[in-house]
Amino acid sequence: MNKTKFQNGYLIRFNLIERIQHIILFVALIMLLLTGLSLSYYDSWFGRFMIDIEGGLESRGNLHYFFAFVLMALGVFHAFYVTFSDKGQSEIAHMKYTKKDFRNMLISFRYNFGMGKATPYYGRYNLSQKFQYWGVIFGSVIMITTGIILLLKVWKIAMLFPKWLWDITNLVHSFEGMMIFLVLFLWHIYDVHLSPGVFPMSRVWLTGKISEEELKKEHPEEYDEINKDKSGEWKIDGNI
Amino acid sequence: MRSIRINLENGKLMGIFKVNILFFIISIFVFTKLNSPELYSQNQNQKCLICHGKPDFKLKNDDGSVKQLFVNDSLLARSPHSKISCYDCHNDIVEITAFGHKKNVNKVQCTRCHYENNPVGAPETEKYLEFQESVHQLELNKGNPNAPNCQSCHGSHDIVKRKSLSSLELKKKITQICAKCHLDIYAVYKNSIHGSELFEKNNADVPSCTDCHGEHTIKKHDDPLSSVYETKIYGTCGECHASEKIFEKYGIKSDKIKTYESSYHGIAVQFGEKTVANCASCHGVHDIRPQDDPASLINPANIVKTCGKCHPDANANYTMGKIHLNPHNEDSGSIYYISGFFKWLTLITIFLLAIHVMLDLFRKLKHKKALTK
Repeated sequence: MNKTKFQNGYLIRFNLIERIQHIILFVALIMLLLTGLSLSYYDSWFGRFMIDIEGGLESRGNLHYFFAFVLMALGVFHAFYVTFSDKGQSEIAHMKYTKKDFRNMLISFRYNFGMGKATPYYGRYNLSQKFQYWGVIFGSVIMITTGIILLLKVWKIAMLFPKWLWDITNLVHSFEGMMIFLVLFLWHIYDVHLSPGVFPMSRVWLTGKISEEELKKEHPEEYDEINKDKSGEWKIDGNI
Repeated sequence: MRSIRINLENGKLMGIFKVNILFFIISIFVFTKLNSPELYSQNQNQKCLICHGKPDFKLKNDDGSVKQLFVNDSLLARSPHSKISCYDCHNDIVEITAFGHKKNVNKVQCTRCHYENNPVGAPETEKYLEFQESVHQLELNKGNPNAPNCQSCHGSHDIVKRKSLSSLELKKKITQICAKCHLDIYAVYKNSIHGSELFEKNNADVPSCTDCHGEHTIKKHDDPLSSVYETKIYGTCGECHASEKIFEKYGIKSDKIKTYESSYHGIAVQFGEKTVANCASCHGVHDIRPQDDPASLINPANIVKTCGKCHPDANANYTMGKIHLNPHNEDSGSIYYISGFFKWLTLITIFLLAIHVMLDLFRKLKHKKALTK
């Protein structure tokens, strides 16, 4: 099934499966963040309030584990998606860092510091989008690995690890969680909510559509590639 | 009466009047003298001491037990109660004959005088109200004959003012008072770090019984209001082990309470969890000993067993690592450095992100302005 690239001036950027993955991801991450931070800040008003509405300390733990499993399941699904589906394969290919990214970074620096008029020539994903994607992948791998080690202790399964390993794991888990929140979450919130041009919210995550105008401005390389071959067809998996 | 009768026999009317007036004057003199509290009480006490002043005065009960009835007058004279009479406390004894007084004498009720706004000037205290809720009063209410009342701890005739004892003397005395009933615990405490410091090194900074358990408020350890209740004990230990005063005096900086509070055990305790370890779970209760003592529960040789009380499959591997970790303290080793690394990594990343966002915002706003012009 082939569809034309632009429908009423819009391009389908993300299909339904991708949008659902995104929703599951941010729901799981926000819930993990809230249930995790409430333990980290147990002695502040925030922690006490959160643990109270989470139904106590034990219930807080169970909620955290539940969303951790949601995240793990999503991770497994996503790995299959980018490995075996056509759309997934093409998306992950676009996520790869290339020499162009380095050039774009320099242009972007020059532009941002007011030293040049040229704007970066971004493809399907710009630098911060790539960074955020790989940041989430990398962060999730660390969080899931350390989380599983900690969970083994909670479930009294593994006594084979020495105590100092638990201590380090515990520390890495809480600091990395904080890092994901402060860097990836806040950065992403700026990019898709607060940044001028998208404020109050970019709607791509809901509709999956991006306008021709926005594509031209934000992803000029992709726009030019589409227009180079006017007769070309854009392949889309699944329904919108 | 006798003098009147004699005078009547003699038939001298004037003499009756004279003698009567004399008698009246003498009576007033004697009465006023007797009414002065000191003399009165002394006189009354002299009467009691006829029997109770003999050191071998004792009562043999039917069950063969012997009750000492001797009252050491010299101790009584030194007590704060030296100026009151026997009857003031033993107010149910009203009649004393040559054969003594009634057999079943009531226990003395200290609250006759010691209550707020009492008219006799006894030290006012609300302490007895606290005692009402204590385990000892509850046992008294149940009719336990061994349960202590005021005088069991404070003493009766030999009572001394608390302030007349130094804090060292007081602490030692308290252990002996409690040991009258809790001898087994005294024996254990004596050999603990607290007990040996108190008795062998005369250190008055260590806790004696009441420092942890409370005085009049003392409750059973499984009573949630007890100061040694599972979820409260870390605060009680913290009275000293988190005290700046103690730290200054001994030149130590202990963060044991703080690090406990931020550990999983401590957090759970603060949320009312009772099944997690508190101070006493690992360090012992009355038998707390320093870590290098082979009998210490936290001696490396015993630590697996100690953890194993709650974590049955604990092994040597499980206990490998420091407890009471403080990421801000260099002694914590890897934890300190990893925590420092992450802190700087996060700070630098956030700093770079902030710069990025500000520059991006600035450019985008400028661009927008240029477009609208």
